[in-house]
Amino acid sequence: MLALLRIELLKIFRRPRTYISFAAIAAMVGIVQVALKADGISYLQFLMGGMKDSIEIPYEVVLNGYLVCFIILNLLLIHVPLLVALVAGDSIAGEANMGTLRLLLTRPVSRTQFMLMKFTACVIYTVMLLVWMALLSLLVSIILFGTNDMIITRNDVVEQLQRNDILWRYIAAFAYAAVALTTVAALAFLLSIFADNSIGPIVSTISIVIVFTILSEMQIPIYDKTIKPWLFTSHMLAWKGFFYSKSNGEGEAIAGSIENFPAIMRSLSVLLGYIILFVGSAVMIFRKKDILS
Amino acid sequence: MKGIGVTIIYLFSLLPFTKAQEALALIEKVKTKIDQVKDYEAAGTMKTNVSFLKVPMADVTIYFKNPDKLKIKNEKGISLVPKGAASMSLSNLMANRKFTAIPAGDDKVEGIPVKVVKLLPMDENSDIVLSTLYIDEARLLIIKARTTTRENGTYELIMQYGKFATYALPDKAIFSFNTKEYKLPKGITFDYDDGSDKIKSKEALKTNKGALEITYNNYIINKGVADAIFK
Amino acid sequence: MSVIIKVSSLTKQFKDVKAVDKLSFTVNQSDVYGFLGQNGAGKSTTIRMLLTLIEPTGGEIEMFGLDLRSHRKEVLRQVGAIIERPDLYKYLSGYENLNLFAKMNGVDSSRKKLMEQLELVGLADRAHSKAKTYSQGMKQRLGIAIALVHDPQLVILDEPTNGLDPQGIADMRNLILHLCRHMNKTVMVSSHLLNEIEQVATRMLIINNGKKIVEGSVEELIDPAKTTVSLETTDVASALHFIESSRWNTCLSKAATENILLEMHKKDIPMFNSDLVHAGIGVSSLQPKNSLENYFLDVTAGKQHVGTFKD
Repeated sequence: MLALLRIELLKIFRRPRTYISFAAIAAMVGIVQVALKADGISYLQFLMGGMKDSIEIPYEVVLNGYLVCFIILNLLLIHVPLLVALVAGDSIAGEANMGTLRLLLTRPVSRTQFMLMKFTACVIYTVMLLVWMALLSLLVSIILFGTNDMIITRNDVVEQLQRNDILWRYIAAFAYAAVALTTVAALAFLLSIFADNSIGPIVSTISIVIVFTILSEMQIPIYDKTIKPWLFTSHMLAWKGFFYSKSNGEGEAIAGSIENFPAIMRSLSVLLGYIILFVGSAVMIFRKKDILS
Repeated sequence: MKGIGVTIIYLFSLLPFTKAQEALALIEKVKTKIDQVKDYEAAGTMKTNVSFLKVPMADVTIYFKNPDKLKIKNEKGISLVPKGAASMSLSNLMANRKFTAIPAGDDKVEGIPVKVVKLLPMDENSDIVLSTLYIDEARLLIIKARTTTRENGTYELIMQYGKFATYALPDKAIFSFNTKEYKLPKGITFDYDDGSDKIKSKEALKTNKGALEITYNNYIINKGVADAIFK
Repeated sequence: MSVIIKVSSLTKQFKDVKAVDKLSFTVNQSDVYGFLGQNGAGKSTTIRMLLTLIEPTGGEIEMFGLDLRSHRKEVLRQVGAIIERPDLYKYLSGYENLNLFAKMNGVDSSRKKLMEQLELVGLADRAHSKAKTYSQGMKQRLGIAIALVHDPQLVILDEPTNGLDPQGIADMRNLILHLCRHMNKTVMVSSHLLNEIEQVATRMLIINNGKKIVEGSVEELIDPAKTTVSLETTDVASALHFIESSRWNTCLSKAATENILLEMHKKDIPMFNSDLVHAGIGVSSLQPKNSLENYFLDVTAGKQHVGTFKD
């Protein structure tokens, strides 16, 4: 099994297009960091416009590495799933397109094993992409902008986290983001078995993620109660929940706390459920599929 | 008989005038006590209770320079200080302003008997419309001050005195003020919606009120504070 | 003689097309088994079912005495295949491609062994170049190396000469013969071209519309005594007159305006040619066609009824 996994990883990491994803992340993160370094104050004034009339905001210290990382993660909500879909959507469709699928499936390896190893390789790629992103967006931001307390502007409340109460939250958030991105990978993987060309699955995955994200965020009552709790995109944002702390009822943030940990765990189980559904379906369908490519 | 009646009426008519004189004298005594302090640098902790803020208690440094310069700074972290916190100094209320002092009887604040004096600024262009001071006559300390302004509504300052009472400097000051409503569209924030009932907090948001509570741990008094700090 | 492949009543129904219809055949050990049919006859579908790429709708497949469905892994360990053109990982080198498949087969993938195999197919000096730089012929050779990396007993080649130049076709023919005669392997090769098959096959199967038309040894099916000769001359009338008055009159089969068809033993053709020349008949062309080819073309064109080949 391990040999199979190594083969799949070799295929992913020997392909030039894989490195485009890593370069793209470096570019996107770098662009945001440069922009914020040049004129982060203006952006903060926009972000914190809702309270600038009531509160004295020390922008220079508010713009620190922790906040910059948060801003970067916020801005790359759609972009990173796209890069994940790029590899996952190519898993099976790419092999079919290259003509290598028919060769692989005549080997003494069960289709289930084959699919699971392919998906595991996608997950490893996703995690590596995320680690790369974490290093660039957190570590480099800290180097460029230093550290301080973090101010988060939510839609109806402004949170402040103390400097020594932040790093563990980022670790938890990145771990959660890995699961969220794996969900996107699982969807792309499922769609990949239906195509002979990876463009179809990649574009379909991204379209679904975009449409579901819009439905998740649009605040239309009829969707809020019915569809929204079931959309995996609604739960992909739960990594932010690690940055929402509990209040003591008098506006005071309780250090080291999480506002609604059970909700995050519920969202996590929804995502895990979707991963199992997508991958399970992919394996079940693929086992019976006639290979005509 | 008529003479006594007229005298009594005359004496009574003098009462308000006398009371006003007394009120003014009280204010003068309080102001003199307050004016002992030309400047201070104080270390303290600040608790913020604003409807749309969720912030931790912070160690802050408070700088003051007579008559109306006040700055709250968080040297180690960030403190989101409400605008108008500069009005937290009492000397601000009485500094350089010509006002009319109107006695408004007696009251009790936190169980302490106080004399109530209303200050009406003579300057028609002043932002302050009315200040009501609740003064502990015995100790010459202002326990509470409620000020109504044209631009920023009404705010209130409550002081608790202890170690530094001789300087009219509080151990604890609670500043209540009005805030503007805060709202950011979801399309910008992309908040995580955990599905919980947000009705309660929405009610709280409507109050648009905030409070700042500073506990002063120590003061460095009259040692000089640079103007640059207040920029 | 052990049976390597035994197919009974194999059927595949796609949505509205029956691609393979109750097909039964047997491939014996050491056979070079030719699998012949027009394009769309059901050859590829049948082969893909043998290789478990397509699930049969009905019927049984037994390979090496084992039921394919329940012993898939054991069976496939003994099978190597090239399906149409050999497709490779273009961004990997020849060596890496071979290594990948060696590992998938669970066989020795040591550098020494792999280089030996690349040496065998003449790719050792280009082993580390990316496969996308390989010519068609080189890709074919790498495909062969991949198909043979695990030393399978049975080699299945589906239309292996598609897209090859004449040299490539000749090389493929030699390979098939080498696999069978020197490496003792059983080979199954499909094609839509009869003359490719008849040059290498020992037994063959012809299918059309998914059904078996005929199965048997090549010797039986292609009888040199029954070679059809097509004669094109400058003067058909004179040629016809000569033939009718000579010993060759028993061989006359059909006379048309453009050519004359005769049936004779293959070894008699040079003599016939010589007689024509001596008689002063101008020979434009003298083409031997075996009767099987005619039969194949007629049947697959729907002109002849199935099963009357021996008539």
